[in-house]
Amino acid sequence: MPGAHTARLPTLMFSASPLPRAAGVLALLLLGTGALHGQGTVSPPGGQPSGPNRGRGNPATPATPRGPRQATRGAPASPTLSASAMEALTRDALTAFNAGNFARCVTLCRQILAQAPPGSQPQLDRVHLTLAAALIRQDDHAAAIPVLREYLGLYSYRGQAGEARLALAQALLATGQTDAALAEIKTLYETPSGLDDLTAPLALALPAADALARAGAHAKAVDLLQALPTGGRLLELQRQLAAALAAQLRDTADPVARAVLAAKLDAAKAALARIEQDGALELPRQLRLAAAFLKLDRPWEAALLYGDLLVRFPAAPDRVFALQGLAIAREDAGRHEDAMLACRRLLDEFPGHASAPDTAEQGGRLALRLGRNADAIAFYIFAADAAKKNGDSSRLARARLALADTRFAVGDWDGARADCEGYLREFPVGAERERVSYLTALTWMAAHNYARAEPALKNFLSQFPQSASRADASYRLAFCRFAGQDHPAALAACDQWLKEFAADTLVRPAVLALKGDILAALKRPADALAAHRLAAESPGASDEVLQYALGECARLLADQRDWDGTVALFNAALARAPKSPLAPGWAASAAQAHLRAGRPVAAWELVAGRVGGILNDTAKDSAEEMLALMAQIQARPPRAGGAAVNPPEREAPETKNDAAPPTTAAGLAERLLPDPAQRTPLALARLAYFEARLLQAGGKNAEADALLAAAVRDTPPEALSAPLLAEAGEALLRTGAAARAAEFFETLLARFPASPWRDCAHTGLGDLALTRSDGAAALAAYTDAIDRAGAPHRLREATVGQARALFALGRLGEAEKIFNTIAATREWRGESTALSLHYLGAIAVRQGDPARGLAFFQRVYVGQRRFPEWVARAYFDGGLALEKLGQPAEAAATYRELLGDERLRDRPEAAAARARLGALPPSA
Amino acid sequence: MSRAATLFLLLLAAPAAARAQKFWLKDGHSYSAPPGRLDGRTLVLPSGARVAVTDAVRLEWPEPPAFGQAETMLLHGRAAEAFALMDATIKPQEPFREIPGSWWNAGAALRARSLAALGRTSEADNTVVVLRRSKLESAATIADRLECDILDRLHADGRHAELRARLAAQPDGPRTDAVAARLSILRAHLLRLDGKAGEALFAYLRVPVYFPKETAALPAALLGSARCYRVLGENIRAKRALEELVARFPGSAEAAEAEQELAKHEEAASAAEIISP
Repeated sequence: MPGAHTARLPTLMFSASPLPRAAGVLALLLLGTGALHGQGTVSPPGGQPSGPNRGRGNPATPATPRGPRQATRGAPASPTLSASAMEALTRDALTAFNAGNFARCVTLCRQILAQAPPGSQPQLDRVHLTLAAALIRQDDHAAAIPVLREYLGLYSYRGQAGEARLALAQALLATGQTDAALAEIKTLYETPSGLDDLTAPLALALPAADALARAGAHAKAVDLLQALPTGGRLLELQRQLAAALAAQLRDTADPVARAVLAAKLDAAKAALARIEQDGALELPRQLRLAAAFLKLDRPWEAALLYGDLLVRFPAAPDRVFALQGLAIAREDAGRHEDAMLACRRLLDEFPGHASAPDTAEQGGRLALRLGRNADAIAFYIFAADAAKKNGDSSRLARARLALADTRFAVGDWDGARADCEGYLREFPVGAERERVSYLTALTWMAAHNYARAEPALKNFLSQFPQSASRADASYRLAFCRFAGQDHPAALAACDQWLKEFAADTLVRPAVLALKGDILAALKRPADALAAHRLAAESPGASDEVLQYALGECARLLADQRDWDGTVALFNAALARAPKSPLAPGWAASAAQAHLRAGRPVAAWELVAGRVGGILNDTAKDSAEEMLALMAQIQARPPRAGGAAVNPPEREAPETKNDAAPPTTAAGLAERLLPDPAQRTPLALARLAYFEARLLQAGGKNAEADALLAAAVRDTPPEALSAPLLAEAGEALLRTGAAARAAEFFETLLARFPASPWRDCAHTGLGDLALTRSDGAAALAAYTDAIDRAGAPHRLREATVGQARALFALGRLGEAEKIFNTIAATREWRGESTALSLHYLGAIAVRQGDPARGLAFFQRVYVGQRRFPEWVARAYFDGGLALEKLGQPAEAAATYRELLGDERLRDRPEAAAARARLGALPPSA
Repeated sequence: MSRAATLFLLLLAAPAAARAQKFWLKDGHSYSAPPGRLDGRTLVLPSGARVAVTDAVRLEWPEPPAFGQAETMLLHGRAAEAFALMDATIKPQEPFREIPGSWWNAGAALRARSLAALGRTSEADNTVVVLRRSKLESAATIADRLECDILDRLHADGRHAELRARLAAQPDGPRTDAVAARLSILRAHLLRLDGKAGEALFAYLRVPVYFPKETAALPAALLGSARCYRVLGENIRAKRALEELVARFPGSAEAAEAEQELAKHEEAASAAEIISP
């Protein structure tokens, strides 16, 4: 009869390891094949656990493992053991186990199981477990599996069932039976298992998930990781377990059972303490889960997990992996701006981490894609520095090249050249030597330093005579000669090029256009026109060359007042490439030529025939361009004459629509969108834009703003195109709907990050910031309009804004410089000039020079009388300057001049001037 | 016989064989008997034995058929009838409400859902409070579920401001996965209404990522995520989410909507093919 300790034996066998309990049975049974061999000890029945007993290695493992039942099936009938014999054999088996003689232990256990008397099954659980433990110590996982399965089938209610299942899962994993192992791990958490340390399956599952990931079974990894309890749930379960064990212990009187329960409770409490202390227990599971989602092309799920990890574990060192994953996930999800921010955060928080150089390159790539060249440069500098530090030459080469390209893209020719030269110095036989050499020459070209460009190009051609860039370099050499005004040599170079590279269709149009320019310079307009026409008709012409060549043709035709020729030129271009993004511009140019020839109806029809089809497409910015032209045509009074080559004729009724062109949005809707279903909010807003432009052309700017603002007031901004968001946003701003305007500008930037209209949004946001006296935000917005968006539409407004923001920030020197530039720019003459002169006066006064300030104010109220706002302000500030100069009579005269101007009487400056007059001495 | 007793007998009416009621009493005895009669706070069994309600420690009664009927009424918008039925059904069960196995809590929740459907939200809220005070562990779960049902109703009725305020006031403490999943979906709906498709998508994705076993919430999460993907221009992922919804939850209302959206997706794709050449 087994002694009273029998219930305790299996527990001790699986838990008496000197290893931390976290590894528990798992470590003892499954990891302990090497260093752990012999560390586990078991107590013989009736005895106490013995000390470490370092037994020697095992005898040979049976070639075909057989479980205890199988062991009995094929064997001849064996005599049944008596109870005492069974106990003696059990004692021997345990002694063998403790001595490290696992083979003998296995033999004895199998003998017991085969010869156990009927009815002794309830006492055989420990024999099964001892057998399984011995087999596992022998690395015979395959043989252990049926033993453990049989144990679980017979004794699933026993306290060691959980540990047995854990061992089974590990044995299954060790034998490659992944699916079965995952099922056992899930069962451990889904059903009461008898485990006293619930982190044990976690320690088993994470490496299993890694193995699945390595095998590419990411969906299975997700399945496994999601089956594991979260950190909070694990804590809750472990607490419940400890409480249940404590309650059981309270209700148990039997001393042996109490001892077992106490041991289990201690283990459970220790596990609980560990979970409570380890604040980041959830981190490894969640990192793996996110990585698996990423591999499954589910970047949004991954980004969610990584983002949550960063919030929950803001100080965990392993958050670097979350940041790295977040950057990748966001990039995969197309959220490039957010991805770039994650890259930057990683570099800020973990500049020395092994992943930092890769992240720097990723950030650079993202920044380039976003057009954030300054950011790209910062990322690539980081990558280059890290590569130098780590001796990673291939990364250094990549970073140098990227830096050169990016600096070239931002117009930093000297910087780009320095990077090129650095590359050539550090990698004299580098794979990109040819490209870098050519880029060096191009930096001189771009800097208009043709004297340096020419020898650089020649040097490139001599070094790389077989280069694919040879044709391009030869063309640029010809250009250098043209720039040096050596026209005959330049013409000869072009002709030579056309012979030598006749098959090169890519560069040919540029060479022809250059030839056209040279011929024009040589006063051969007919030849020049022919060359440009050939360039425009060349199939390989880029949009840039095509536009340039067509423009030159149009200019040469205009010199001859050949409007029909101009119409034919652009009609031919439209026929060749009707879907070109340049087509609306060509239609507009042809329409302009019709107008100049005195054919407004033809001009109108040409544009109207094209615009209807794109009114409902947010991506077609040309719709607004064409509508603006239609408004211009409508606003233009009929003009006769003006065509020398094609004298005006009475315009033939060539139009399909006999009715007069409409002048309202509603009328245009009838004409262009006869089907009411086509009149979407976008189309209606665009038609309102036409009417607003018509009002503007008539000088009714306030009405135009009111009309456009009203048209979009209830339209969701995401339904509008970029030009509408820009122009309607500005109209909203001017009509006082600041919040709605801000919404439009922000939507424009979010939805159309590469739109040429985004400078309007930046400028509008700058104006809003200036209104709320936030000079720093305003300056940043205006600078973005110029530096990031290139300010194709609002360069003047953004520059004026920059200067005003600097003035508001008290950076008078910088503001003065910009105001001077604005005042001196001929193309910007108008209100900006008046404003700049006034500000220059104000700056001078603030700098303590009222006399110089007065001179500026006088220039405004004498020379800029078209702008009453600035005239009034200049009068008033001029009066103040005179007061400061101690000239009250002159000051009074200035105030009186202001009050005498009828246009200025209602302005606030008039009231202020009146108050100043009252304060001056009566003699003045 | 009092009205309450009559109702009690109606509630536990036949088919008797299948609807035998089982009681466990404090003294360890248990009774399995056909429906009895309630006399005040004493249960009179058909055998004539009398059992004080306070002596019962556990019940095992069949689900009252009125529950299914009320669910059907609610499904068809007949909230007033559902309320009347449930009100009559649970009143006689009141004495048993704190005894494990009682159907009172579930019935009260059903009645409260009827109230919410009638726009009587504050009365429905009262039931949540009553359920939260119960000593029965199961009542807390029922209360959580009821609270989500009330929030769902607010969303369905377009009372978004109210819903927003109530979601903001939800405690941060641990919730069951089912409740957390449903709250996440409601937050996602509001974010989508606010035009914050990216944030809404993350809120929808919380369900498949953190609560993959909450199959009741998954269809709405998948449909919502597909719509967010579409807004964000992620058409392939939108299609994938819809296809997953149709494949995994073919009988759900969301799957029917998904099928329609997939058909539209196909039409749009065909149109794009025609236009692009």
